[in-house]
Amino acid sequence: MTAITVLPPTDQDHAELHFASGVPGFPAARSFSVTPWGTEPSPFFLLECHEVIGLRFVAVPPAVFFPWYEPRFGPEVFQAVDAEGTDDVRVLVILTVHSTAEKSTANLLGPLVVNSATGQALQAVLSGSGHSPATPIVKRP
Amino acid sequence: MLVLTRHVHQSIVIGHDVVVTVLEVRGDQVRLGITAPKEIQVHREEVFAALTAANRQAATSATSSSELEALKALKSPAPPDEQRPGP
Repeated sequence: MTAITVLPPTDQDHAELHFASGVPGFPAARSFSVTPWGTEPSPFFLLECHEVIGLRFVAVPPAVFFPWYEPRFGPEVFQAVDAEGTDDVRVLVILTVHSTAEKSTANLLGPLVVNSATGQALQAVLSGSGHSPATPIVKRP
Repeated sequence: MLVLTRHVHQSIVIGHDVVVTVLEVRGDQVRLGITAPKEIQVHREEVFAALTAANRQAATSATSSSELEALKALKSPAPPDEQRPGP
């Protein structure tokens, strides 16, 4: 298992993601375009599916909200996206955005691992990590 | 449901290239070894269900500019201790 540096995507990163094994819940979803969310600079991305019309996810580099998050992946995760190791991939987490930020959550159990050179992507699973698929992005009172 | 009986170290083949092998039986637990092409992900069922539910929920995300502004206002808060998973 390898610890990974969780960096935001850079301008050189691929603007198309391809999930060879699909996305749980949306078996037909294979490819997504990645665009910044909003007109001004922000760390948030919109992932829009080509196969499932209307399917879109909001994703963010986890360090934006969870600086302590250090997902560890086995070699099968890197293999699945044809990456040699941690230097070749970026990590994003999917947000569930509600009308108030206090209700919004991030899926830390199933981070997206993206080969930054090719766009090959996988929703990994951190089994046994204790991470929740619905982690609040702000502390609840 | 198809029901097959296998001994330890025997396998079943699903399709052309997914092989499930019984490695060990101990009490009411069974250890399985699975080989599959890399484009086929293998999950524990309850984990797959959790991911499916989370993705379906995420797909209903509100994506108007007011939600974006609310999120941007939150950026880089101090790490909230209670978000961390327990030991």
